[in-house]
Amino acid sequence: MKHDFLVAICVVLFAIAYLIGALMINEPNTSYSAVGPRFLPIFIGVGMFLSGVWLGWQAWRKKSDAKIDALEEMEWRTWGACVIVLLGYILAFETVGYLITTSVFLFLQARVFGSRAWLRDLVVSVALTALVYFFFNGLLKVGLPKGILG
Amino acid sequence: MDALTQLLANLGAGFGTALTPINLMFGLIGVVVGTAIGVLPGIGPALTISLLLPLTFGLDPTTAFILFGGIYYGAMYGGSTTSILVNTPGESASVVTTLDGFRMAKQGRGGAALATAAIGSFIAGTFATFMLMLLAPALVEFALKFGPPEYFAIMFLALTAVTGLAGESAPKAMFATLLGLGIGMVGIDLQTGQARFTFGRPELLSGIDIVTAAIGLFAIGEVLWMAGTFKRALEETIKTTGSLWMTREEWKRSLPSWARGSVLGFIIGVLPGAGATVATFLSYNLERRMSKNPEKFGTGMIEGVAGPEAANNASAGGAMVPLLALGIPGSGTTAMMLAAFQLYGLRPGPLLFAQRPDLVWGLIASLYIGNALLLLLNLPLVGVWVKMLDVPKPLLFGSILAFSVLGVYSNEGSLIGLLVLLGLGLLAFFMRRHGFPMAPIVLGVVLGPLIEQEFRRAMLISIGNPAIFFTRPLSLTILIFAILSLLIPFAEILWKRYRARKGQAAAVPTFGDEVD
Amino acid sequence: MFRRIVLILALVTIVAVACAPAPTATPVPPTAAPKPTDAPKPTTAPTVAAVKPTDAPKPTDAPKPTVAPSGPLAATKAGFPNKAMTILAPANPGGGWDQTSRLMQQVFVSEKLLPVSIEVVNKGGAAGTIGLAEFAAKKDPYTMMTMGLVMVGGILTNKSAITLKDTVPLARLTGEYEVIAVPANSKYKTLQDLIADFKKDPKSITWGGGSAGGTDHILIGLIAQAVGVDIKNVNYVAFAGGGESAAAIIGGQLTAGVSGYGEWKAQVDAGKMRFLAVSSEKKIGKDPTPTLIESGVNVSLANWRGIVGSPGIDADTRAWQIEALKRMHDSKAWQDIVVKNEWDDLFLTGDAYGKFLEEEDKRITAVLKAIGLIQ
Repeated sequence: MKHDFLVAICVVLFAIAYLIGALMINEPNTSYSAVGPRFLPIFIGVGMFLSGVWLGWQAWRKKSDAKIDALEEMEWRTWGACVIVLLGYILAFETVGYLITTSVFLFLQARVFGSRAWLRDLVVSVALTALVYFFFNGLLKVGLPKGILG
Repeated sequence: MDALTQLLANLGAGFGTALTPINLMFGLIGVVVGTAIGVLPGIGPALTISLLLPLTFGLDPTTAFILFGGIYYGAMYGGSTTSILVNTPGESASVVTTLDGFRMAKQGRGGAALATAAIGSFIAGTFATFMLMLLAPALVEFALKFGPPEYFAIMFLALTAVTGLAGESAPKAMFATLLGLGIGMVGIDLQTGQARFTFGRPELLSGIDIVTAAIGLFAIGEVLWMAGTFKRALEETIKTTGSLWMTREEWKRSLPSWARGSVLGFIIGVLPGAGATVATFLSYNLERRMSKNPEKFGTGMIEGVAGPEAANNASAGGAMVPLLALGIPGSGTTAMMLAAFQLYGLRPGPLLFAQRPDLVWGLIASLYIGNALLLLLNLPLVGVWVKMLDVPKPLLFGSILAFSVLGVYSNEGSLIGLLVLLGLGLLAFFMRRHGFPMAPIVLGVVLGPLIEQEFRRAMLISIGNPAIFFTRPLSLTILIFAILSLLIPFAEILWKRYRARKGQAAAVPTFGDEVD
Repeated sequence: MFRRIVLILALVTIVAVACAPAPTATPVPPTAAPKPTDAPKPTTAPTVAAVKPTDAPKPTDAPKPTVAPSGPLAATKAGFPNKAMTILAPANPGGGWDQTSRLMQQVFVSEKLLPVSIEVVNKGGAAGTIGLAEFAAKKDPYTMMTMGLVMVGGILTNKSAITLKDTVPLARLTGEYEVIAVPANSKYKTLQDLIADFKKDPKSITWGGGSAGGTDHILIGLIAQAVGVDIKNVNYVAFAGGGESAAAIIGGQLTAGVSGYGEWKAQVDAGKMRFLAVSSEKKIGKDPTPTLIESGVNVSLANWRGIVGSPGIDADTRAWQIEALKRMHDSKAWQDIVVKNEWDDLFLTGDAYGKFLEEEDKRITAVLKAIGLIQ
């Protein structure tokens, strides 16, 4: 099975989901409006659907296929670890607070990307986090989450 | 003659104001802070000005605006750096720069790409300030001729730039563009107040921020890509050995691009409601059309960096025109500056030139000075930025992610915003893996809400008659340009095929397989 | 090479952290809020020496009696407040709520009205309903929230689960008025001319203003109702802000527009626009523009702003907060701000304010239903 054909199926399914979402938009019985809030979303959904059909048709006729040089040899373990650490960082960001999460995150992410110079990573992680925190909270008053330290 | 002496006297007084030690110092702080936040993803000039606003209440308004002007121009300089070096644009206006800038960096021409961006920005910024000084009132008259139909036509023209970003597969580019437009639909509809695609989450009511989209799709997507291909990525480390400076040939190729980018960017900037991102995409499209080798765009063409980078700085200068001359903001940053004017009890508009000449001319003079300072600051920095590539990859990638999260959080202040960021990063990763181009998505996110709102406004004004787009000369002209921009590539292909069939194939490069 | 970078980073950090509590490099005006750590605790002498060194009493001075109206308000019996307070501005920096919040903060601090410090936090989006949801969930008696007419409308159009009933009304502060404007070269010289054509062919008049369901739209809805035009035929073109719609009106793209008085005053002064009517009950200052009522349209609308307290605060705390707001309102600094911004002083507190909120909710619900934005 051509690879792009599967991609085309995904595109078509996404387009259908988007169209359903577009049809669920409330078209208000409002004051005068020539073109309502559904118009462009429906247009987009139909366009996506057609692009999926086009892609599928091309793949079916073997006119083209994606050049996915990385397809077989993705390093899913590194990738998965990177995503999980990032997700953990995001989820803990507000509750645990900026200083702790960012230091830990930078350190862990360096591990994920294969660094073993733990002392260097630790120093840089903590220093960079503190520097940024000072710049944002001290100078710009952004109000980064203090979390458990607050 | 009298007008000229008047102008020179005003400008002289302006430089007198701008060159006082305190103003000069704040101008310098402005450009340094501006460059810094330009380099950081997500922290744009509008956000920075809003954050600094409470701190400037004690300052003289002129000084405060000199600071803001420096931040605005500085951010436009800084924006290109990460785009070129690590393929992670910090703002939507520097997305286009990644296309050829990052390729140049991979070929060891990162220094040249940064230099052409800096010099282009200087030329564009100076040009825009000069035009602002000379022609502000006349330009405003011109800008006011643009109504919703004309804006729709411009957005449509910008959308045709997608043909230059398509990559290898037309249906994939089509889907990417539509997906971007679709993401732009999320949130409350301005015309009718209805929620769209919000899944009942109040945080999504204000829509998906362009900054979040650009960072998610590019910065997060890029790092996830690196994570998936890490061993190879380490092998093909980017060369930093090439000369930092531009070669004679690169100068020759950059010059016309700077000029075109400056003029185009300035015009788009003057129009309130178009914006810097639109200017960069239009400029990229223009450069591609003007080039003898359009098929090489996306492989490290210096014109693809010089043009858009000039355009985005010129549009910042252009946006000052309606702000100062009418009190109408043409970008997020100028909207913030308008709010600042109001907090100071000032009302920008034609009377501002008469009532507060010290402020207006001081600001104009300081924009000239700021531009010069930025060039002096940024050219030596080229060498420093390139060193960024020597930072060990594990730390660099982690930092890019951490800065992206920080930028989006300062912008949106919510967990949902961060989850959307991660979601877009994952989406970008999988789409890239399957050969979808990324830039059209950002183009779609930027243009989606604009094109829709302008279309519906025009249709309201015409009471539902679409003829409004074709009966107004300005709108019709732009639409014809847009259609030509769409058709010319196809016509070229047909023409070349025709010639090839006549046996002259050797004379022209065929790129038929590229467009199927 | 890399070791050097690490070293520099570490050094910079140490310096930065060491400098953090000291005054920052960016000059802070004397009126800016003190950092929470600077705030004098109510148990210590309630002078606010840390805020304005020039006014600091000499060490020999005995602390003034805390009941004096000029001094900070004393804490309640239950000891409220004993830490820094917060004003939540449910908008992004730059807007009207943000401006009101920051100016309140400025007065609280410069007039030394509170025994503790007070800071402004922004939580923008969706007509303030996102900030409202957070405010109601937090139930923090130390936080007060700025709000106004736009939030009343936003709660309805966004179908917000949290409403103003989940908060405690404290005070209405100011109001700004709306204007009906046309381009300077428009054929319409008076509101009556415009309304006459509006009645004849409603769709032919294009009105420009802010987002659907906002104050501008609500005013057009009220006017249409008052002059007997079917709201469904009103041709309202929404723009993202007063600036964008101003460009469209001056450029002659629209027939008329609606926005805040202050927002477009500069355009009128510059001869680009003409005001036809204001939405206030009396003329604004020395401006000769007639009111809607004077022009024969029986509508008045104030884009009012006020402040509410956290759900569940006890009566003492509420009374304390109202008293603090009253002292802020009565100060000369606040009165100057009101005049300078051409606001109307609409001060109203406590239960009277609560009653006003209920009435306003009814009125806005009716208009939005008529416009068709809510069912």
